[in-house]
Amino acid sequence: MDLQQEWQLLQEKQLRAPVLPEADILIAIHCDSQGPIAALLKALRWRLFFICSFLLFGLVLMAYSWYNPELRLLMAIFDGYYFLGLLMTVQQLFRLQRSSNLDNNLRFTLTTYYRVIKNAIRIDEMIGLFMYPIALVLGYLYAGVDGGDSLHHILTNPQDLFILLVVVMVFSPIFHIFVRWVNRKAFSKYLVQLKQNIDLLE
Amino acid sequence: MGNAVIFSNLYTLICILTAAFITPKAAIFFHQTFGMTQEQAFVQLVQRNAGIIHKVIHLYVDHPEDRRDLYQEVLLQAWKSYAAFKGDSTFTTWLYRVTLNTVLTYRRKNRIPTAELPDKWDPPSNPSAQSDQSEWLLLAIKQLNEIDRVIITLHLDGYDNEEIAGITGLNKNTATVRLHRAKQVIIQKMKTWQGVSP
Repeated sequence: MDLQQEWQLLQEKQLRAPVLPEADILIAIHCDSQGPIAALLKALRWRLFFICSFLLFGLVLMAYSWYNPELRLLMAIFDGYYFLGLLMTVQQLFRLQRSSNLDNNLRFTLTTYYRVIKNAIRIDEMIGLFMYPIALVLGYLYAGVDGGDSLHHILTNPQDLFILLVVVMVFSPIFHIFVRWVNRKAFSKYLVQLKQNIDLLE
Repeated sequence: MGNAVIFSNLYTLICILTAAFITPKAAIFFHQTFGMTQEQAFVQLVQRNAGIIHKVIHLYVDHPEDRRDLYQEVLLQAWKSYAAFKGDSTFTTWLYRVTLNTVLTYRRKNRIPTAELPDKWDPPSNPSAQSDQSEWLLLAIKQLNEIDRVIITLHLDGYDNEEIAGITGLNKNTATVRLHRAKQVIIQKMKTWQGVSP
């Protein structure tokens, strides 16, 4: 059985490429990518936008409450957390942009994609676990201090402490589970597909 | 001389603005009006080698919508990587690599598991016809795992084991063994189908 001959025949018939019009190529090369890295980059840019907005908001609030040391401290913690989030997101953004080159060998490309996507999901989940609950707690404390209570009073009042505890105990897992669910829905099958092919190349 | 410099800067500015903000149609308009040599060269090379993209997509994706999306994605990724193309390999080999990488890293929305193919497929009625044999070859290749499909396709397209190893990232010996096994599987399958067809 001559596979080469059958292959030639196949290329002449079923695998024969239709003429590719210049206009179609030009449209394709000026479109946005639909690839997984592009999807992650898009999500990261949105996250960056929100982090920057919250950071700006935090800085404005800090300036507004500059003469209240307790509020200033709260807003400094808030800004510190969001600044950390900003650094992580920017680093992730650069890493993703660097890894979008597709003219390396297959094994390298698949491994890079797998690593980068896993890492992006991990950071996303970490941010889901810490950022949002901390923002809620700090928001609650800010509202209390702004309403006239002292930080010491809020942190020693059992009712306030109970509310803060509930916020942390309830919202942390909710955000974490939600982020995990979204990521699993978006990437789990894809990661399995990548992993299978990487294993085949090992 | 001065006018040429101003015109060239203006043209570059228009290209950047077009690429960044304006629609693909507008980009094509500027392209047709002023001409972009790198783009033109790329278009010509891709047109000459379109068979590679078509073939690889056909071997990996069954759904027409996925095929259309992937075709566009391959062209885009090839264009994005084209600036880094130094000519170390031929354009054909380079495009093969970009196409394979794009197809195998793409999230396919309407994926049909290839494992389902053998049960659903009936052997063609006339086994002696040459076209049926080549159809069998296509089906046999599609039933291989995705990496063996890469290896056998490259081999059938005339790449030697060292080149296959270079494109896939396998070492040469592993590529040789994998190729041999894949060929055996394909021949075995085709012989079986030849036996069961009426």
